[in-house]
Amino acid sequence: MIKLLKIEYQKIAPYKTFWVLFGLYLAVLGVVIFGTQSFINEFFVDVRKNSPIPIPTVSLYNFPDVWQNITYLGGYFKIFLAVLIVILVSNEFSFRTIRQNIINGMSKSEFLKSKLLFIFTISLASTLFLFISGIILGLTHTTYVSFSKVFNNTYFLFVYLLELFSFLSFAMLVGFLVKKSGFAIGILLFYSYIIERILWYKIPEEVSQYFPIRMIGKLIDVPNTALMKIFGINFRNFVNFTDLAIVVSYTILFVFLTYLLLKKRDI
Amino acid sequence: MKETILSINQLSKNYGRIRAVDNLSLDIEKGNVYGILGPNGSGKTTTIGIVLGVINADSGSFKWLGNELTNKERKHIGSIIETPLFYPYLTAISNLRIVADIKGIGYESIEKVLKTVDLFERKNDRFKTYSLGMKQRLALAAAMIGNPEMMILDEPTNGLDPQGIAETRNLIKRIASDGTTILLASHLLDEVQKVCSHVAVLNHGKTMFSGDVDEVLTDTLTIEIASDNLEELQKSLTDFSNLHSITKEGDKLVVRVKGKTNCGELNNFLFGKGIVLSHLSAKKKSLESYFLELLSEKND
Repeated sequence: MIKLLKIEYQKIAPYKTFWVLFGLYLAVLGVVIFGTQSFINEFFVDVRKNSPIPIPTVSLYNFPDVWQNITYLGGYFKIFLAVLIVILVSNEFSFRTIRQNIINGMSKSEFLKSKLLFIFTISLASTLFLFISGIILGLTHTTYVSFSKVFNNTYFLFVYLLELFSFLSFAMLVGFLVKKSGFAIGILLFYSYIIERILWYKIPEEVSQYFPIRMIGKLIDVPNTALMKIFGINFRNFVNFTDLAIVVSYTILFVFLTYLLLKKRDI
Repeated sequence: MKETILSINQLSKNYGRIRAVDNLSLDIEKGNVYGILGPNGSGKTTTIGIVLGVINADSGSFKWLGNELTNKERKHIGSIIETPLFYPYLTAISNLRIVADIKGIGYESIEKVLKTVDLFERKNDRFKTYSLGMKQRLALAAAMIGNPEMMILDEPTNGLDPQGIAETRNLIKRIASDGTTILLASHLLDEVQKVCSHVAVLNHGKTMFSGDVDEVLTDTLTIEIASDNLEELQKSLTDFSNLHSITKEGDKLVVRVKGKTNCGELNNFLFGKGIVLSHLSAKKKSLESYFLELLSEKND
């Protein structure tokens, strides 16, 4: 396993495109996570002045709410990583290095395993980034810090990890299926943001709520802020076990389909 | 009997309506340099792709040392298929490290193989900055990593200049003389003749000929002759300087003569000995002329 991860690392270590995109991803993620609270509060400054009822200032960074808040926000940016994965997978096809890897003695399942390990590592890196950000933000914004307060809702981080891993497995499948990076990125974006969304409206809710991108996206629901409570909107502030089970099943399906593709096709 | 390394049994592969490999059978013995000779599109690369497990055959089977193909076998085979395949943004060294890691061997041999193919000076340059010839040489270096028991080389001199071609052929011979079994696919008759000990000629995915290179590819002409006294005729022929071999076939002698000897010279020689032939005909074409015809057919 370490060996496969080492091979993956050798492949990307000097690959500038990867590091630039990954750096950009972390930068954007950082700006959004650290900036959203003041953005919302600035936005409401004028509204607040004219409002007959007092609108409280939003606080996103209190322990333990910070975990759901930042993992929810982070979920929007997983598409960056998905694009990266698509590029890395389709590169193997356009350079035809997948062929040489296998000729040199890597089995097809080892090849798949190495990509999965890589996806897991990159998901873990993003989760760690959120963990560190959450700790920093929480400590600087929470008045009374206690151990249980800090770690109470950290399970959102694990759910976030699953959300990323599942979506990136989907991206990997698209990469293996389409093989051409531009085309694959197009299909990934088109399916995730357009096709499935159209289907949500066309197909009855009872069915369409189980569509993969939707399921993955709603693992972590919109956080309840004081602001939203004013409008009487109440979202889930917990993670549904059924949702988790379905997303895990989707992930297994994505990986299995990728495996079938690898097995059946000429490389 | 020599050990059979690779045994191919009635392999077939279609690409849509094109039959790329057609019921192909071939045995490769340890320690030999095998040539697969055939014009472009004759099924050489497809066959190699199948035995290395990157192309799925439609029917037929193959065995490596009597076993199904596994990674373990592949790790002991150094292979080049068609074109050099590397990560363009990685240096030669990094690319070869990946190869070594996949094969599960140390990095010690990397510098040595780079020196062998004369790329040591450029080892820290990215693959994409290499010329076609250098890429081809790097592929050869990659195939040599870890002293494999067998090397599969598909058109290894593609894109090389004449000097590079000569060097590569010498290198292949040198590797072979160390006991490495080599399977060389080429569309160049001259290359197979110079490098290989055995050859299989492929066309439209079928084996047309196979056997010892000396047997099938020597530059000879086959002439059928007969006279009243075959024994006397045979005895006289032994003095003929350009003789390759004589075989008796019924009431005729099949004579193979070397080089540019033609029927007239043979007749003249025998006439000088006082023998009058009752039959003289240049028999079926040599493999070489057959192969050249095959190639020109393609080019038309």
